[in-house]
Amino acid sequence: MVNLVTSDNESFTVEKAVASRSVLIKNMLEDVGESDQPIPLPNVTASVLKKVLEYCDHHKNEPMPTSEDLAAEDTRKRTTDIGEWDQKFIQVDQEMLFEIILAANYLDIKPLLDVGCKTVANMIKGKTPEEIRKLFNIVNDFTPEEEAQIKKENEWAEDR
Amino acid sequence: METIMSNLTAQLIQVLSPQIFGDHVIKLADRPYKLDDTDKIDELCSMVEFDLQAAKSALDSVINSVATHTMRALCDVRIHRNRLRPSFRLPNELIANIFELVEKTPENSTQMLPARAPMNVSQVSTLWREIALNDPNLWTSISVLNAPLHRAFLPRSKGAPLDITLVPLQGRRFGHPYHHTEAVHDKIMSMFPYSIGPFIRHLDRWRTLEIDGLQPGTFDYGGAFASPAPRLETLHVNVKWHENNHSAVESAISRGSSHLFGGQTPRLRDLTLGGLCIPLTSPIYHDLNKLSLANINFDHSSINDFIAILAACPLLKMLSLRGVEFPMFNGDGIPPFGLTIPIHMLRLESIDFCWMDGDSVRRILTAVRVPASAKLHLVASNDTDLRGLLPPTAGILDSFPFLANIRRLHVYTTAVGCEMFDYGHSLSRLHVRIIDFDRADATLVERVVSSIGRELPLPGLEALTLERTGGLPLGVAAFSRMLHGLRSITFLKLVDSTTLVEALILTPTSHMCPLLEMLHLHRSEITREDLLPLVTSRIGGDQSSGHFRSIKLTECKLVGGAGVVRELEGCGLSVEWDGCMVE
Repeated sequence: MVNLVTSDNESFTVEKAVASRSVLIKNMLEDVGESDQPIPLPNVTASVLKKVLEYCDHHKNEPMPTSEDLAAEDTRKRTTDIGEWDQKFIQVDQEMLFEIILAANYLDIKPLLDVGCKTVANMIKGKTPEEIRKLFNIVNDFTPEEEAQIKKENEWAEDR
Repeated sequence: METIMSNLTAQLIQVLSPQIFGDHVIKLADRPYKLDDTDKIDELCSMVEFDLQAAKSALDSVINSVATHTMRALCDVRIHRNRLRPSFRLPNELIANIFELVEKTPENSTQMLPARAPMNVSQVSTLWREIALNDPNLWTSISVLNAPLHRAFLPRSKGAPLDITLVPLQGRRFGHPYHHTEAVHDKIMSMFPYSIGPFIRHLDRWRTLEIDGLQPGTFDYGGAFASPAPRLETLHVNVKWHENNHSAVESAISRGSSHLFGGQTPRLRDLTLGGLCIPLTSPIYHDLNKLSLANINFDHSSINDFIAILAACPLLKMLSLRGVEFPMFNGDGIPPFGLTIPIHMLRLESIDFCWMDGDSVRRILTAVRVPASAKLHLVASNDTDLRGLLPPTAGILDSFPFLANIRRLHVYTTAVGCEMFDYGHSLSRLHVRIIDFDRADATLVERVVSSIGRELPLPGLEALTLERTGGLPLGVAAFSRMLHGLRSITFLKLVDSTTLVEALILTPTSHMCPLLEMLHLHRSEITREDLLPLVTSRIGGDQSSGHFRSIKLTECKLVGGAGVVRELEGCGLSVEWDGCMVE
């Protein structure tokens, strides 16, 4: 078993196979060898780690992506398809969604990072800039000069 | 703000407004002017007007300056406000990754322009714009829809490889009317090669070029496309099909097209040419993984040139030739079958030959050795049979080792359509479809069927289904010749075939399908009198090998009903009957 300590000082004791879905933790475990020392995770809060561990537990028996898998990806065409379980898992509020992505990035859990990024991509897909702003509660912060440039680009789009 | 404005107004009035004292003195900004003639008064008025204009300009400048400064400050505040949102906490490289995901999904290419990545994401906020504009990969896909935006895309893609796809979009998505995109596509094609002009000077970084619906003769081999394409990986060009001009004919002029891309496409792996002829001597055909040629008449290149291409593409995975013609053989320089050194295509996954001259197919298939996992799909033209298509029997299992893995065969004959010999693949099934075009050749079905098992050896075959519709002639003799070569079958299904059952009766001189375990007759007009000799010869007869165990009868109205079923069961046979009989 592995003991993980979050930024808000909460401890989680999990199977090694679950914790090792994180390449960061896996490397740490390999570096320190057999030890009872807790592993501090200063960039992850308890509520986020709980969700991340739920994902890792569900996928603990799946093969880890290899560097060959990553190299074989066709950079010209990508998919934003997400598995059924993963879709339900990632149905969280925006705050949590982005925290999960950050945690997956920090902990180096590539499949979870993919699920998070694909979810955001699916939210953006097919939306106009104004719709995206509304979706993420963002305001238009362009300077008048940038606005003028954008207007020009949109005129090119109409120039058929 | 009010006090500032009030003080400023009072000061300006004091400075700019003349006051009249008596008939000869005017004060301006507390300075008296003695005025005794109209010229001097006019001069003073002009001076006041000039000062007033200067004050107005200065005020405008101040207002503009204040407005600009304030707007910038406002933008900064808004940028700061946006940074507090969860979506802005992600590192820039993750946001860029999300943008690329949106951009590279197939759905993106059919979106309305304002809703398409990367245009949409770059117009959301300052940060997103900065990230989008600094990610060249986001601006590399040029399609029919965003081609007019090349002025934005080409500079922003910096040195990244370009994927240019001028292919008409299918369907209607997200409110984008299909006819609109089709109109854009047609306009681009009608203006070709002018419309490809903006991209030509970036030819050295083309990774993909897909063009569909090109007008014949508009692909400029020697001019615009003469420069090397060192990064080109995929080239698909399909010329618009015309009823009277559907094949590109290789001519002396098109020999010059071997210099397409200066003959330098070292990374090209995926080549599709439809109705566009590039001589087979061109280096463009080397080291390919996928090769697909359609509607081309090679008048000058030979079948040997094509076989040389296969030798030059040892990693070829997919080979497709449709309506491709090679010069007729005159014997000069063409080695006889079997004398060429076989080309081992270890990575080959599929061969697809349609509407090809049988001799060309046969020569190509004779020249290659494919893996056991490869799939084969053949559609011959006219009345070519298996013998005319396949390599000589002696070497066919070396060429196509997957034939030994075929467990099930479905032979389907019909009078509808124009294909004759359809596809076979390696996994466990082989379909042979014999469709007699206009019934031009009454012997075709018999010729094909009788050659199965011989010209098309299937040493591991276990299950055979023969389905006949349309009443094409197939006699017992031809059927028997097929069965003679398929001695390993344990399951036989005959559809719409009554007389063929006769071939299954075991006699001292006829011993077809010795391992047969189950017979399924469907839509057969077989009677008790036809059936019993077959069953008794296979169960307990002198020639019986003891394998035959069951029979299934479906939609066999004349078989005779439950009594016959009991009689068959009495012979020790398991019988499945659907109860169908004449009412």
